[in-house]
Amino acid sequence: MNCNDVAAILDSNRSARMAAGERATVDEHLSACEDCDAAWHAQTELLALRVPPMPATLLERALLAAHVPQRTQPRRAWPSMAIGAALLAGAALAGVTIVSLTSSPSANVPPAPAGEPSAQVDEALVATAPAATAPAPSATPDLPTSVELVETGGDVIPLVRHNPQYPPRALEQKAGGYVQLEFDITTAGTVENVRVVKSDDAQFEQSAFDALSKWRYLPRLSAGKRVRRDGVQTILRFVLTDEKNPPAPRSQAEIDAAIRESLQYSAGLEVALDRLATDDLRGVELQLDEMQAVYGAERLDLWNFYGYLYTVEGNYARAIDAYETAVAVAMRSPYPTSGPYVSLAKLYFARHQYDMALKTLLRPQQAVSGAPPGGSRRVSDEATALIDRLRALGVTEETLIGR
Amino acid sequence: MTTAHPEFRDLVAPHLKALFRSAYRLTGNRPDAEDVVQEVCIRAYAHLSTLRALEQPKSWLFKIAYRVFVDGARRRARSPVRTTAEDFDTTRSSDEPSPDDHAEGEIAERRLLEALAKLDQDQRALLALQVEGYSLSELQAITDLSTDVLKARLYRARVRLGKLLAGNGKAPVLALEK
Repeated sequence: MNCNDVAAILDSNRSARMAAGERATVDEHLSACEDCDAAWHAQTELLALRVPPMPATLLERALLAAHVPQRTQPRRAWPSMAIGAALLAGAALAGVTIVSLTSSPSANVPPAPAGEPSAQVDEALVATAPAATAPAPSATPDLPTSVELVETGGDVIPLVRHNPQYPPRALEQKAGGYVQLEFDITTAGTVENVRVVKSDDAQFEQSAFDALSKWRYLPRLSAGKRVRRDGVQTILRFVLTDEKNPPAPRSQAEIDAAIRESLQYSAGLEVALDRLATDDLRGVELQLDEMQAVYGAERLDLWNFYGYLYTVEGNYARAIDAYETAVAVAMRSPYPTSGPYVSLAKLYFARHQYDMALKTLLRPQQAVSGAPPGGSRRVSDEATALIDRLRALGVTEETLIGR
Repeated sequence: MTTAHPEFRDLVAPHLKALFRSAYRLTGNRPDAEDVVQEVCIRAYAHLSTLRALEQPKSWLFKIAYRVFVDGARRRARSPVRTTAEDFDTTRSSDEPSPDDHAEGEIAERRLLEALAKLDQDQRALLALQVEGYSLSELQAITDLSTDVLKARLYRARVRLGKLLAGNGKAPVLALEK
């Protein structure tokens, strides 16, 4: 046994699986040769190095990065060509920012695709069933209601939503209505101090109150720390589906499966939120990776959560990637959402990429401008404030065009 | 659609985990490993037709990874901001459980990653690929080095790493760096 023999064993990765006799001759050489001893030790340590599992999002992010033409900011920029294409694709969406109080009767909103009930839907209607054929509410509490959610803050989007029970008496009367509620979001993302601001029919209040109390949010971030957010308002609208235009009928088995998946999905997100509340950031990421493996890469909630997580970690490049993917997913979604735009814009702002920040904020507006006239839109307070700050820095729509 | 060609996904996806493992050994932390993988995909996508025609896309992808890493290292070397052991620790601690969680294994790994960071980029790249299970002939294809040079460099890299590990944190190692 000489140095070349030892090197050959290491080169062929045989060091960990050798017969006892050969191993003895190796040991003999190692005890006499300092270099080989060091080399052997190094290889053993290298082979023992645990590599963390590949993040499930990496494939999607890499594919996205590969496709976007590269400019000065490799991987992270979203060149204008790509924006144009994405906007065209998203132009059919109305009211991307926020659903207004008075708009969109339920019949105009597509029902959730089978197997994708409330969980993925932001600010849109939850899966509906025609009132005439609605099963008893106690049997399928999730389905007869459709709830329109109107938010008031910028990126305040519930992550876990429990559908309110449609009050049985209201079902009998074929009555609809809304309840406006105010509440606080804790640093753990739970809902506290729910109070009814107003409603047009008191019989919906208890049901709305009970449901909202169980919702979970991503806690607000301030300077990287999770803080309370008090005085958030939301409106739950109870809508019965237009009987002339019912959604495709679904079998009881399909409905049960959809409810089951929805509950599992919510439970998964609650696990991630609980870990977040105890600062187990690694645990959060593992949970998200696992959920992505099960539910696929088209879940806006998950991308938002990744963006949030990386922001908490201070890993802004990763956070931007995640929110960019969230925006891409949102653009493909038939449901309007204000979702990731503001968060993404804030990150660009924090990294002094002011042009990108403004472009991001303008994306939903540009999409809306292609929608039929009369389509309502509201820019969130946070988005407006950010646009104002950019203007103060001399970054406006006009300066963007010139570049 | 805003994502890459489906064919590209099919070609690349099976090798991504191995790429990520190597990239992690190359860079020693997750964010940088992810950057390497993304950069590999960006460069590979620009040559989709080449990729399509290959019998062994894996070696070709690793060849790109090797270049990305060595180029990246050169860029970093030119940049006024040098990655130091301290930066390294910070990046790592945000990604991984704290040392208290599984103290011993964690400390050993940290020592190894610190030692790896002190190797020349070329040496480090060779080791990262070699422990992924590549044979000498495959490594030759990836690095364009002759067998003799490759063998010698691998051996020197291991010896250096082993000595860094043995003397980690002590004065002679620092002297070696300067």
